[in-house]
Formats: sequence, C-alpha cells, structure tokens
Amino acid sequence: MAGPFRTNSELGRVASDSVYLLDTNAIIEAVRTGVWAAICGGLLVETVAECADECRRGDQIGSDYVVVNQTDLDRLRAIHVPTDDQIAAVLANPKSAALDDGERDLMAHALSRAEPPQWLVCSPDLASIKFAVDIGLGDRLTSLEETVRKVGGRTASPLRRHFSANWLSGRRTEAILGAILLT
Amino acid sequence: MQDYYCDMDSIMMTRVGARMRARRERLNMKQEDLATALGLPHRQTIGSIEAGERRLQPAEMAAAAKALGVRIDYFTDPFHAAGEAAFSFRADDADEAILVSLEEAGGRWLATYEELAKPSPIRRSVSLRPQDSYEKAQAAGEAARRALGLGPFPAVDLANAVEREWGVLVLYIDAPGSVSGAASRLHGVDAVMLNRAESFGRRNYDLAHEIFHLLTWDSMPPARLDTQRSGKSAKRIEELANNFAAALLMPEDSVRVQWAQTTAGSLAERVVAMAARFAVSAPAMKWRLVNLNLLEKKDAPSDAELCSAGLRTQGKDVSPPLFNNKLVSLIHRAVEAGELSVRKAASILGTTSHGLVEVFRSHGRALSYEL
Repeated sequence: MAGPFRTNSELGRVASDSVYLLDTNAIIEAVRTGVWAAICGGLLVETVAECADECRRGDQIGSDYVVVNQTDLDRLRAIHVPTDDQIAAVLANPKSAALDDGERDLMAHALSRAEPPQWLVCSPDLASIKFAVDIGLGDRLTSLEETVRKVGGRTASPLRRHFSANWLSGRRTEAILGAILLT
Repeated sequence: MQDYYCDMDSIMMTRVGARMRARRERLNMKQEDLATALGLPHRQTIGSIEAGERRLQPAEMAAAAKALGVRIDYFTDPFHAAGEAAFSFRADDADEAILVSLEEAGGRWLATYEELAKPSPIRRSVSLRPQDSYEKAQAAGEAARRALGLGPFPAVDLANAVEREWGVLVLYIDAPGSVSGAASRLHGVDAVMLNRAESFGRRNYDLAHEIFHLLTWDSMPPARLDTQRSGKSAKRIEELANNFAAALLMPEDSVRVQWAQTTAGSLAERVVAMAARFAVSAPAMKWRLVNLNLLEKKDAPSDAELCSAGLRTQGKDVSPPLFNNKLVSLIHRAVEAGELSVRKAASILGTTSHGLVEVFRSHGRALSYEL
C-alpha cells in the first residue's frame, strides 16, 4: 500500500538529527500502524515518563486495544522526567489545564530544551496544538505522517485522520488565526 | 529554559491563593512555616498569594506542592475540586476507600461542570428547621413540585425539572451497591449523584430525598454519611427528608384520585400498580397510602408480598446512560473546540479514550477524532 502521504513543504526543514518528541497518542498510533520500529530506527525519538506510563497502561476498552510493551519503549532514545519547576512553568498558563498529564509534561520538557539539536513535537490533539501555538511552539509541531515520511516508512494500515499532515496544518492555521483574533 | 513564561491571570491567581490557603489551614500550618518552605523572607508574602494579590512563581509552586503534600497541579487545575466539594452519601456500610474515591471523582465532575457551564451562583433554599413538623416538610415537598412545574406524576420528569429550573446537576454513576446516591456541593454547583444500577423507583426517591438536603444544606447541614447520623435531631432530619420526598413524588390529591381508580387485583397488586404509576418503589407507595389513611397499616401488604406482586406485573428497569447529558455535552463541545484534550476529558470521566467515545455515543454525541 502506497499510503496517503503527500509532499509537504516542511519536509527537509530540519536536519535528520532533529529530536522528535512524541506523546502517547502518537506512540500508540505508530505501534498500531507498524511504523514504530522504522521511525525509532531512523530518527531520534524521545518522550517523557508520563507518556511512557500512559502507553504501558494502554487504552483497554475497545476492540482495537493496542499493546505498547517494554520492547517498544526500549526503542526510544530517551525518556525524560521534567522537573517540578519545569511543569510549574507550564501550569502557570491557564490554558495548560486543557492537557492531560502526559501532554503537559511533554510541553514542559520541550520548553526546557536547549538547542542544538533541533527538536519537533508530535502531539496530535487539538488542545495540544492550540496550547503549542499559544506558547509560541506552533512551528515546532509535526505530524506522525510527516515523521513516517521522513524515514521513508510505510504503514501497515492507514494512519487516522488527526495524525495526518493535512489535519495538523489545518488545525494549526485555525489556532494561529484564533490567537490573532483574540489579541 | 527558553524565554517562555506566561503570567497567571487574575482568575488563576485567586484560585491558586484560595486552594493554597485551604490546604495550609487543613494541615494547621502557619504562614511563617510555609514562607520558609518557599524560601520567602516574610509571612506576609504568603498572605498576599493567598489573597490572590501576588503571583506564585513556578519554583514557588513546586515548593508549595511539596510542602503541602499535593500534586503540583493541585493549585491550578480548574477541572479538579481540590477538596472543596462537600458530599452527603446515602449509603449502607460503605467502605471508606469507596467514599473517598467517589468524592475524588465526583469533585472532578462538579468542578468540570462549574468551569465549563459557569452556572448561576443563585441557589434555592427552603426555610425548614429540624424542629419543624412533618406536615411542614410535606408542604415544602408539594410546594417544590409546583415550583418545578411538575404534574400529578412528578417523578417521571423530576430530574429534568430540577436541572432546568434550579440548575441541579443530576449525575448517574456506577457505584457499589452499598451506595445509593449522594448530595454534593461545590461553590455554586448543586448536584445529586445516583447509582444507576438502582431501580427506577428507588432512584427517584433518592433524588427527591437528596433534593431536600440541597435545599436545606445551610439550615440543616447533612452528615457525610446518612447512616452515621445518630441522635434525635439527626434522625429527625432524615425523617423530614423522607416526608418531603414522599409529598414531592406522590402528591396527596393525585394519590387519592388514583387510589380510587385502582381497584383491580389484590391489595399488593394495587399498591404495585400505584407505585408504577407514580414511578416510585412499592414500599414507598405503601407508606404514602398508610400515612394518607388510604390504607390501614394492619392491612398493608408486606414487602415480600409487594415484591412478589411486582415480579408478576412489572417490566425490567433500564439504567440511564452514565453521567448527565448536559455535562457530557459540555465536555464534548470542549474537546471539539480544543479546550480539553481527548485524554484529559477521558481522565475527568474516569475512563479511557475509547470509553469516552462510548459515553459520548450514549448521549447522542459523536467525536470527530477517529479513536
């Protein structure tokens, strides 16, 4: 299957040694669609401890329960534990209340990173996108589809809509326009 | 750390201050001691933070959470009650851990409703005191029925009416059999939680009983656990609540008319038929008939006879969907607007992402995310 991928202007924007910070939703979808090993093998993929724990706990209701086991998590380059000060800096923004613990901790870690290396965040939930735009990280967002393209991977089953580059692009634009209208 | 920092807004500063103060006072900690833990030279600074006049800096927030023994988001998360919700459970021999768990979960639901619905802070109350007569409690029940615009069979629309007219949130929950329900309060939110596994009639009676506690919360504060009440006054409050509930659900005029028309079958079957008509339990109907002198106590069927007659004549109860349509609709709208992430919404409702989809579906809502 060729997959639904399309050329994206953002491809190649960052060097291949960029760090990709993935949240729980992105990790589970990558495992579900069979591209987890490929993206971890070709890119520097990292997450935070809360997201790793959420992956382990899984979403145990529903017929398509995805098992993310320790072997999958061992493929990560790093699992970060943000400090309380770093989390508190995110919590000071009232809009952070929209996020769950894993999404919040990933943003807290992202905000604490120094460069190089460059880093991107894959957190495909509308609330995460709005928050990232609000704190000035809109251009750091990437989709799982773009991430898979980066390593030339192919999914065993199609990615769901909100993991696509198109969906991210549309929601990010809406969030930016919404932020402009509010100012 | 990059040059990102967002100042708290005044609403958050007020929330942070109030929660910090409440927690500190609960621990009997002095402002001086908390100031020391936060590395602040003056206790007055704690006073300013608690009054919502000074921002709590991130490092101070982390230190405060540690010193006060709470999660770091305890001070900021509007979707958490932070111990501010009060509960009165209708429960028999309930395990303490179960009650604590229900308080934690219920507090989140009430806090979420408050945050998303911004309900009116105006609250209804009834001027009753523990020494008032049962007749006065019954009159209050009948007055409540009229105020809610309910007809001769009030139970059928009671939940909708109290939500629509008085803003009371009626939540259907999954709880152990030992817990029938609870009345609860958080700031301007009044709520009743009902165990949805209970029979329709029992749920309605519990709802009416808990409405009494909400209406009289200030004049007769209910105990955390109904069955913990001891003493004459406490017992009387429960009896007043039962009289209020009986009059609210089974209006005297309506009961008299229906009883005169319900002539077929044995006495037990007549009582069961009346109970079905008024959507209450058969024992509740029986005692209402006795108290209205329509049925002699000595002639009244036993609960076993009512149960037997009920099995012959009644259909199966259908449990309502979890939670409450208004609350679920608010959460659905927040998720679709990006004001709550799917995972956060699921955690508020104590479920998984897929469980959240099921809750939405049970209230006629679809999620645009493919989960």
